[in-house]
Amino acid sequence: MGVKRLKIDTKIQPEKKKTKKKNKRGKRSSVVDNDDRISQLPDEILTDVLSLLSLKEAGRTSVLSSRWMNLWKHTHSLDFDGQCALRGISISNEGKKKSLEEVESQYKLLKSEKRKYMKWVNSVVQSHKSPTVKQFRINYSLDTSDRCSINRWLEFAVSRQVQSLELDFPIPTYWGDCYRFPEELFAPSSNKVFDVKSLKELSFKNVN
Amino acid sequence: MAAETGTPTTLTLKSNDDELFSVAESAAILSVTIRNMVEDGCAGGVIPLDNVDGKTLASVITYMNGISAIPADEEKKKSYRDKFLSDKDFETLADMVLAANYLNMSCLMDAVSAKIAQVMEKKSVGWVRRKFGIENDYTPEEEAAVKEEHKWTFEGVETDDDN
Repeated sequence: MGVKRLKIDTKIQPEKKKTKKKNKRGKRSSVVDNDDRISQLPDEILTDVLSLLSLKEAGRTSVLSSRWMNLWKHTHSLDFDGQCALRGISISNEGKKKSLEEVESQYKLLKSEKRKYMKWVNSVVQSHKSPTVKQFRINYSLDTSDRCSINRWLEFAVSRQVQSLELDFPIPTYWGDCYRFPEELFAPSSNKVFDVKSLKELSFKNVN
Repeated sequence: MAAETGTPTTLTLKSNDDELFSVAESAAILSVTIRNMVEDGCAGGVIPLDNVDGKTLASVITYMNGISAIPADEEKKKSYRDKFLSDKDFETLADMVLAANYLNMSCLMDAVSAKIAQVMEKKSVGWVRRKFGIENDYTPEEEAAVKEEHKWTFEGVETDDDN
């Protein structure tokens, strides 16, 4: 019994130390109604909470205070939802006929938004710190020309023992060939050793 | 373990402020920490829970009794959890989640985490700081740098509150 309790104690104690350190650090103090109880919760509890928020919301908590700066990087859920960026862009031919200039400008916009999306995924993947990821979802108009990046993200997800993996590529009209899923990445004969035993859910949209 | 067969076994839990609680073993083993003690034969006598105070333990035991009385029906269990947590203020929720963590009760931990996340959802940084009394210890320069580094988190996001 003693051993077990000791084990649990050590889990909670480092947080107390951290809290003290933070209090000492306090550069600016402000009058608040309560004592910032939430920031005193252990990392693993706060990480659980952040994993339930959207990725953007979780990332935004970095601005709250220094205690929160890196917590979101331990989120178990990486859902790169691109719907927001795609909403403003419509390059389909439906409805009103567009002039060549309009089509061209929207195509350019789509390209720049795509660069931004890929930069976002890359930067989050690079800064992510949790050894495991429950959910990994890519959702943007990507195709075979983006395969290098997509493959890298897949390798990342697999290396973090992903449980639910989703590639959702909505396709607008002017588009290249579909991305082909690299089966070899998951093949047992693969030279690279990946543990895909963790994978429980796999979902594709517009993937060959 | 059960000394006599037929009668439900009762465990005695002691909070860190020396309050004693009697609870049915079948309800108490919702806590993996307590279940391990029972399985190892260490649950005889008084079980001291050094990280939980009496007020919180009383609440956790109410939860243990309530949820274990519901048969295997995940929907009913969920609605019990929602109702149980609905009138709790944040201080109580924080105490409960810490106790649930210490007692290794994943169902209660998940429910409280979800409740806290719900409060933070679609809220601005300023609102969350005020709501939870989070002390902003960044200098204005540091805050600007963190915001710049996480610029993507502010793009295309709408919040419920004005700030």
